[in-house]
Amino acid sequence: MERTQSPRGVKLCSVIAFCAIILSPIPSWAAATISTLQGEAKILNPVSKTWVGAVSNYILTPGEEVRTESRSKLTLAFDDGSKVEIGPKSSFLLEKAEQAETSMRLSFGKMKAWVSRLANRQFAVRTPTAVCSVRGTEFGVQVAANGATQVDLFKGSLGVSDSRGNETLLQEGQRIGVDQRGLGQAIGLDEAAAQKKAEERSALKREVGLEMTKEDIQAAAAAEQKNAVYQQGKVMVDVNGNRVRLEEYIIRPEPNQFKLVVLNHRADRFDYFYYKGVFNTALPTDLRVAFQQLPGCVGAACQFYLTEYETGRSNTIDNVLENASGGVQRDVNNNADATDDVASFFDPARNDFSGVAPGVPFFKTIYPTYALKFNGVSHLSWNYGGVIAGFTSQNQVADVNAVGLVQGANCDTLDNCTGNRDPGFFHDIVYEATGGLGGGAVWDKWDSYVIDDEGKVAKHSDFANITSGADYKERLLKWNYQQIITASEFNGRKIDLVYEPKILIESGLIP
Amino acid sequence: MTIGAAAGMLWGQGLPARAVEVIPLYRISLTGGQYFFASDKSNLNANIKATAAPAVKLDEEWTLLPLYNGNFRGTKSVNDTVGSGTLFQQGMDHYLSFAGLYKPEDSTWRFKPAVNYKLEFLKETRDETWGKGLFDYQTVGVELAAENVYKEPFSYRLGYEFFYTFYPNYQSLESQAGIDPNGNRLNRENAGTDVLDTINNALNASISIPVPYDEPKVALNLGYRAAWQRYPDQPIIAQDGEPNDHKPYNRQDFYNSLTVGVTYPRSLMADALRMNLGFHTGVSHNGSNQNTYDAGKTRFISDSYGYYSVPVGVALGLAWGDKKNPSTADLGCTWIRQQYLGRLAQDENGTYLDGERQRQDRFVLGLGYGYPIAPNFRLTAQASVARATSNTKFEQSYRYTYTAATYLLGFTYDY
Repeated sequence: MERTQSPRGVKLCSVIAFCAIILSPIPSWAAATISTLQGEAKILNPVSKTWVGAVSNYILTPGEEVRTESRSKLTLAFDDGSKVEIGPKSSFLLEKAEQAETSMRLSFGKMKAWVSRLANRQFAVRTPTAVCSVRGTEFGVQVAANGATQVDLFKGSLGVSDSRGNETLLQEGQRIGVDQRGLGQAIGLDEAAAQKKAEERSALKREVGLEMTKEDIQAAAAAEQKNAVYQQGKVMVDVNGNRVRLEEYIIRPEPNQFKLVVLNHRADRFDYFYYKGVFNTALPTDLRVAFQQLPGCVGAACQFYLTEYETGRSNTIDNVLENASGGVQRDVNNNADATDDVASFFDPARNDFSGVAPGVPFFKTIYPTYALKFNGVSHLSWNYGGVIAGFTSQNQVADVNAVGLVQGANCDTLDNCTGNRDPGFFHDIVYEATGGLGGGAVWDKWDSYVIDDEGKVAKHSDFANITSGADYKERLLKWNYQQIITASEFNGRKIDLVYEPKILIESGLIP
Repeated sequence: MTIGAAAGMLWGQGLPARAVEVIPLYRISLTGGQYFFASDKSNLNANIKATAAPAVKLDEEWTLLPLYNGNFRGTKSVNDTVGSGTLFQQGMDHYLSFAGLYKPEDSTWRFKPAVNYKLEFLKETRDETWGKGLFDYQTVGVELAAENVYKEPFSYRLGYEFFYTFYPNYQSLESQAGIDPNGNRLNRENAGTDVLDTINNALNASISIPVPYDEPKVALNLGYRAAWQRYPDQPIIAQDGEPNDHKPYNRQDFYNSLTVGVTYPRSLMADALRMNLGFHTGVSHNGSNQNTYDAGKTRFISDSYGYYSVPVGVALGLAWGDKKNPSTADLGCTWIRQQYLGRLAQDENGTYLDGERQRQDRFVLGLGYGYPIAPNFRLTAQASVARATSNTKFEQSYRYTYTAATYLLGFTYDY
C-alpha cells in the first residue's frame, strides 16, 4: 500500500481523515431506522438539546447524536439495505442521510458498517482522524479517547486519508491505524487478530509477573523474620542432625533473685536447663552489673555475690538438680589453702579470661552445703559442719560420692568409660558408677559434644589442639555445647541439652 | 484464520452475546544443580517450578485470572538463609490467586481486585518432614490495584494489600514451658505464643516513564512501598528483659522502600542482536518498636530490628536469533548494604561492640543462558555466586561471612 501526498496539502488542526465512496444514485433520501437495540442508548435532539431514550424502530434524522451505554449496542438500517452497528460506549452522529450522500461521525467508540453496493452515492464515516468510503463494503471503525482511529476492512476497498493529506487505499482483509502523526502501516486482519491475541497474552503475562513479584515481596518479609530467628541463635542442628530450637530468658522471682532458663525443643522432645541464683542483696535493673561479679572479684569482696544457687536439667520427666547454699565471700588467694588460688578467671565484662597475679586478693563465693541429685537420688554432696567463720576454703568440705569415675581397666565398654570418645574431636564422656568393672546399681553418664550451628563436632585442631584450661574455655565461647545425660534413675531415658558454653563457664559449671 | 474469524475476534468482543474465551498461560521449568557453601557442596538436586494461569476473558472489560504457582526447591538459592542444615534444605510452596481484571471500555485505566493464598513447606533438617517444618508458613491476602496505561506500555500503578502470615509449627517455647521440679514457674507472665505471626497492610505505587517522552529511548521506573507489619502476639521486650504485653498492638514494624530503575533497550547489528541494559538502586527503611534481650550476656539491645538497606545493581540482557524464540544471555550483579540502627555488632567471642551497629554487605553475581530448541521450549543454564560480609564476627549460631554459589541446568517450557 502506498502513501501519497494530497495535491492540496491540506493541514487541519484537528486530525481528520476521510474516505469517500461514490455510489450509484438512490431514488430518495436514505432513512436510518434503529432496527435492533440491546441495552441502553440515548439520542440528542439537535434542536431541543435534550436527550431521550432510544427505542427500536426510531427513525434517526440528520443532526441527531446517539450515545450507547456500556454493554449496549444498536443497529441502524438504511433504506438501501446498508447497515451500521454501533458498539458499546460510543458517540455517533448522523450528519447526512440524503439521496446522493450519507455521512456520519464517530467521535469515540466503535462501529461496523455493511454498505450496499450501489453506484454514484457517497457513504462517509468521519472520525477525529479517519473516514471510510465503500463500494459495497463491510468495515469497522474504532475511535479511542485520544482520537486515534483504527479501520478494519472486511470486504471491498477503502480509501483512507489523514489530516496531513496522506492517502492510502485499504484492501480487503486489512487494518490501518490513523492518529495525530498520520497514517500507520496497513496490516492483515489475520495478523492484527494474532497481534491482538499476543498483546492480550503479553498483558496477562505481565499481570502474572506482577502477582509473582508481590508474592516475592511477601516471601522476603517472611525470610527476614526467619533470618532474625537464626541470628538470635534460636535454631540450630544438633549432633544427630536434628533440629533443635533454643530459647533463653531471665525471670526475676524476687528482687535479689534471677532465674536463667534455657529451653530446648526437638520434634519429639522438650528439655530445659535453669540456673537460679539468690544474691546477697537486691539486683539492679541491668543485671550485667551483678553478673560481672559472679566469677569473683579482684582486690575486694564483691558488691553482688551469690549466697545460694540451684541448677536444674530435665526432660520434663527426669531431672538432675544441683543445689548449693550458705555461700560466703572469701579471699581464696590469701587463705590457708594454696591449692585453691585463682590465677585467672572468666571476666564477663571482657567476655574473656583475665589473669590474677599471685597474692592479689581474689574474692569468690564458697558454699558449705551442696547436693547433686538424679530424680531425687543423691550422687554427690557435701556439708561443712563447723562454724561458718572458720570456713575459708571450698576444700574444707569433702565430697560424699555415691558414684565414682569409671576409667581405664574398669570400663566394660567404651560408652561406659570416662574419656575422649572420638580421637581428634571434642566428644567426651564422663561415666560414674557405684561399682567397678561393669558398673554398679547407681550410675550417671555425661556425654558431651562441642558443636557448631550445623551440628558438626569441633575438631581439636579447631582449638589449636588446646583441650583444657582457660585458653580452651576462651575458644569454647565461639561454639555450642551439647550434653546428653543418662543415669540409672532414668529408666533408659535421657536429658539432651544444647546451650551456650558461656552460661556454664560463667556460672562455674564448666570448671 | 479466515477474515470472518478475524473480524469476529476483532469486532465481536464486548457485546453481551459473546462467549467467554479462555487464554491459557503456562510455564514449567525443570532444572538440576548443586549448592556450594564455604568448602562444602550439596548433592545434585532438582528444582521444579510450574505456573498455570488459564485466564478467562468474559468480555472486553472483564477478565478473570486464576493463578497457580508451584515451586519445589531441592537446590538452595544463594539468597536463602544460611545456617542450620545449610546444605540440606528442601523447600516447596504453592501459591494460588484469583484476580479480576477490569478494563473499562475506552479507558486507559485497569483495575484489579485479587485474593491469594500461599502455603510454604521447608525441610532443613533430617527430622523434619513435609508439613512439619519449623518455618512452614501460610499467607492469605487480598489486593486492590489500579493502573493507568497513560502511554503504552508506560503506566502508573497504585495498590493496597492486606495479608496475614502465620506459622502453624512455630510457637514460642516459653509458652510451652510449665514448672520446674521444685514447682516454680519456668516462663514469664507475658510470654507470647505465636510470636512470628503477622498482620500486614501495604501500599504500593509505581510508575514507568518514557525518556524522552515522545520517542522513548530509556524507561525510568520508580517504585514506592509502605508496609505496616503487626506482630499481635510478640510482646515488647523491656530493658530488664521482661516482655510487656500491649495486645493487640505489640511489636509493630513500619517499612518504607523507594526504588529507582532505568532500562535502556538497544538494537545492534541491524537488529541481529538486541540488548537491554538496566540499572537499579533505592533505599529502604524498617522502623520497629521491638527490642531484644540477650539473656546469655544479660544485655538489652534497643531497636534491634530497625535498619536501612541500600541496593545497587546492574543487569545486561542479550537476545539474538529468531525474535519469537531467541537465544538469550543475562548478566546481573547487585550489592546490598543493610545497616541496623540498634543491633550491636559482636567480636569473635560474642562481646558486643558498644557504639558499633551491625552491618551486613552482600554481593550477588548471576549469569544465565537460554537456548531455544523448539517453539516455547528452551534449554537453560544459570549460575550465581554470593559473597556476604559483616562487622559481626561472632558466628556461634549464624554465619555472617561466607561465600555461596549455585548452578542450575535444565529446560523451560513457556506458553
